[in-house]
Amino acid sequence: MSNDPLLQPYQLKHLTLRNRIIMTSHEPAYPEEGMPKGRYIAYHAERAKGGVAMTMTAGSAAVSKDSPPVFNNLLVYKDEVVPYIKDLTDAVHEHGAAIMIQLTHLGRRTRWDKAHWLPVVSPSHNREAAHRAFPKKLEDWDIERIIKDYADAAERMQAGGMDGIELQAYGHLMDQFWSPLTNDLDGPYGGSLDNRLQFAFDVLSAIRQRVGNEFIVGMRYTGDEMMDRGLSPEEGFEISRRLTESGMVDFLNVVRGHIDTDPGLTDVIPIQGMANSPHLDFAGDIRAATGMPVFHAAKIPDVATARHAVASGKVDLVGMTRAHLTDPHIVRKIIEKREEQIRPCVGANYCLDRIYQGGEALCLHNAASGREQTMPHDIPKATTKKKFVIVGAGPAGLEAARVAGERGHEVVVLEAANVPGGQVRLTAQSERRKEMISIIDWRMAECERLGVQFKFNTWAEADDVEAENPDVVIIATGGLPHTDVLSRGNEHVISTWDIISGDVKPGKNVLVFDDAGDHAGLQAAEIIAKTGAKVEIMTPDRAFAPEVMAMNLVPYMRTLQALDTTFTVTYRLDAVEKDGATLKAHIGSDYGGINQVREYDQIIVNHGVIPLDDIYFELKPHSINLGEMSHDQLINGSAQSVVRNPDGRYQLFRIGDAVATRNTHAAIYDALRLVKDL
Amino acid sequence: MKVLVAVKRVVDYNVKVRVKNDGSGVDLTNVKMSINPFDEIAVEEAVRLKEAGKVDEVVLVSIGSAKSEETLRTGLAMGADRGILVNTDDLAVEPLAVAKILQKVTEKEQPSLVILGKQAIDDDCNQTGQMLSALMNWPQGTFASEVALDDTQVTVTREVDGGLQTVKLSLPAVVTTDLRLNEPRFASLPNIMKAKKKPVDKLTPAELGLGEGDIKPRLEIVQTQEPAKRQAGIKVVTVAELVDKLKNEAGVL
Ligand SMILES: Cc1cc2nc3c(=O)[nH]c(=O)nc-3n(C[C@H](O)[C@H](O)[C@H](O)COP(=O)(O)O)c2cc1C
Repeated sequence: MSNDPLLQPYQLKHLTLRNRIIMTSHEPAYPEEGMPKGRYIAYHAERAKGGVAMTMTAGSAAVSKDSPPVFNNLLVYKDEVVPYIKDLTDAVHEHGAAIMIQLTHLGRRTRWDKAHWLPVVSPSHNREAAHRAFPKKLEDWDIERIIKDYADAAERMQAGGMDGIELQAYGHLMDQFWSPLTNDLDGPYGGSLDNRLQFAFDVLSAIRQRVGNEFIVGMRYTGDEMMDRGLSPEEGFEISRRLTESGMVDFLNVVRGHIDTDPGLTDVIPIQGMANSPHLDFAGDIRAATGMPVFHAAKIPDVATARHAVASGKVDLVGMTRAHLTDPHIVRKIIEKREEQIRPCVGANYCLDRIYQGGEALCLHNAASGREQTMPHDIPKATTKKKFVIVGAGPAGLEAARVAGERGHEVVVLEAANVPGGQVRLTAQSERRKEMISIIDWRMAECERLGVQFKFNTWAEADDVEAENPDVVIIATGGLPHTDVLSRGNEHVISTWDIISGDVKPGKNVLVFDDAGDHAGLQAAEIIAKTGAKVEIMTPDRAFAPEVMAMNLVPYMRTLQALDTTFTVTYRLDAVEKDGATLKAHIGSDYGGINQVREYDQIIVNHGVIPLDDIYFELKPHSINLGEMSHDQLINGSAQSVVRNPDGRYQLFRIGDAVATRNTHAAIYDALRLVKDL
Repeated sequence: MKVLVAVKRVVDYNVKVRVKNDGSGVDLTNVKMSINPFDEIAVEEAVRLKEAGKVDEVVLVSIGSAKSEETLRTGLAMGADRGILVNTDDLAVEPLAVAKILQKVTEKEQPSLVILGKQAIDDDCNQTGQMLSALMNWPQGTFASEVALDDTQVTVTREVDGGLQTVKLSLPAVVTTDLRLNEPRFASLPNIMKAKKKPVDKLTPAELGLGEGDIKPRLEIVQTQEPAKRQAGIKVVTVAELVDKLKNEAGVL
């Protein structure tokens, strides 16, 4: 047997877990009508197959009707959920993993203008900044009702074959009772710590009465709100001890911080550029103080840190949650001594930021995650070997090369630069975006393993491509910054790339006109602001940097606000005139009636890229399909078979930003979805 | 003022090199090649001098096969103005031959400063800059970690054993770069595109007035060997055991 600390089994009451790596609760927002159906099951089954010890499903599954989902959560207050839960637990058990589910009442962390339009409830009238609802202060009958709802939901989960449940108590109703900041009630549920904990213990008692003492019940809770006048670490330890002494709780899943604001949430679940495992020691302290089985997750993205977490006795089970969104087969690769092949989570947090915008969780650089029913994680070999020429070694080109390599094809990649990466390498120039380069490094390592051939420093011309005698040509050349957006004076503006790459030195009084709203605009602003220059970010939109999204915005804001950056929304840069060293910006508004002139010494336009598509159009007439991609075949998952030119010599496809400005996920999805069937 | 920078195409520093079966050298088939990292630092320094307004033109020279044009393009994308490729085809040119070719190019171009990497990471010779300085009879500042240029002289901080040494050289002069001199810039796609259009002159040693005898190899490679394989490590349980093993097995205490 292996002596790897991560691969040791763990006994939790009657339940034997096969190793120490778990996925903590994370709602990927895949439910259909609030039920875990095919997509949901396929997602968890894939990870069970990949070797994870236990998956804590759902994420904030709603126990009550007045806890409507914030991100398409499971509705466990409905009886009809039970057979779906049964299918889910069966599918996971079949692959040898344990499965539990997180239950909650969101309290004020939701909205009233959905589902049944019931008022949001909380132990005070204090509003949560993130979801904006002003809550009703709970009455006695609300509390009784909700306690019963918890017990009913727990019973349903037991009936559905779950190995256990966990209650959420960080930012949700349960700890809204705990925290002095959100509990204005008088006794018996408000006031002293005893009173503030009463609700949690009433819920636990009701659940125990319903499911018995054997069924596993845990608590995922904050042990320190890290907020002025919030729950202190002393109170957190006291709560930990009382949960332990109650005998009603089987494990503690430790969280530290508060999630009522974007910055708070981001400190609880750090993103790229922030420190790894910031709360691990804290979890270890709680384990030492209580002797309870302790689980913990918070940016432990790599196996080495996970191994340390377990080996050092800080945790019993280590959560690698976003890491499993990126690679569902982490444990299998550890067992097979292929750790270096694990696709690394780069902390881009695309998964989480998307669900807070109402989308489903997707991984920035694994397009198969959440699409298990149509996209393979293990790419099957092709029946006939073909010769592929791929132009461009950015994310799209490298994914195409990797997938073609996995299919057993002969693959040559032509890249203009001396190094691979394209726009991902550009974005990784910023310190906080450095982890992004793993998207490229992992693919390069995989391509090397698969025998893909690279020709760098090669600005491919049509002849270079045709000289390789390809069967399939994929153009993944990306684009060049598009700054020609003004009615006059385009020649006076520069691009965000000029700043990020260091080609142009920052000015002293700078306007960043950003209607792409992606990372590049903020990266350029940050580089300039850090030189001490005055920076204004302007957008015609109602909000700036919408594509960056909530949690990714946090580190930028912490820097930019401190550097006194100005944020101007709903104004549009129309034209620029040069007057000596001064640039006169003519500013208007889509709302009309605005015509202002402001002065700067440097103006940057962030407006995506214009495709670099010359080679595509040169090759197009010689191709069999004249470049056409069948959308039906793409979506149905069959091989492309368009013939528009029977004399053509190869199939030709264009992917990623070489088609139109999109993002890394789109580029990688384009490549996987096309090449997996070729 | 004009600066000449010499750049060499070498095996990329990330590549795990393999020795050919017959021990005659390193296997270069299908291996990623790049600009020698010390030369990249040299290009960066020259471009920075140009950006600071101290230099008007940065000229690159590379000596090797036609493929060395790639290496020139890398430097041009970083901001150099034009390139010279001295095509020696498949001939293995040794440091002295390279220095002689550079001497001819230097005489032709008349730069005030020649910057080279202190060594190439393929043969690790660390000779070319010094030989060029001798052939030109110009002062040399090797292993530079700081370069300050004015109209008539260049001040070079050198990384020497045990510390730093500062030398002042009158121009024209030869400088070779050490690792800490600067951090080379990112060559962006728009600049790679611009570099495509920059001029590259192609010359042969003969056109520079060098005969075969001047540049033919003078050394014979007797053998190339892989480094010994690393032994697997062991885990010790106690400090005492560690000390014991270091003393009695490793023999280092
Ligand atoms: C898409 C997504 C949804 C999540 N939803 C929940 C949730 O509903 N309840 C919860 O306690 N944690 C939730 N989390 C947080 C994770 O359980 C975990 O604490 C967090 O991702 C940090 O661990 P990691 O760095 O290993 O990903 C979610 C995470 C993700 C990525």
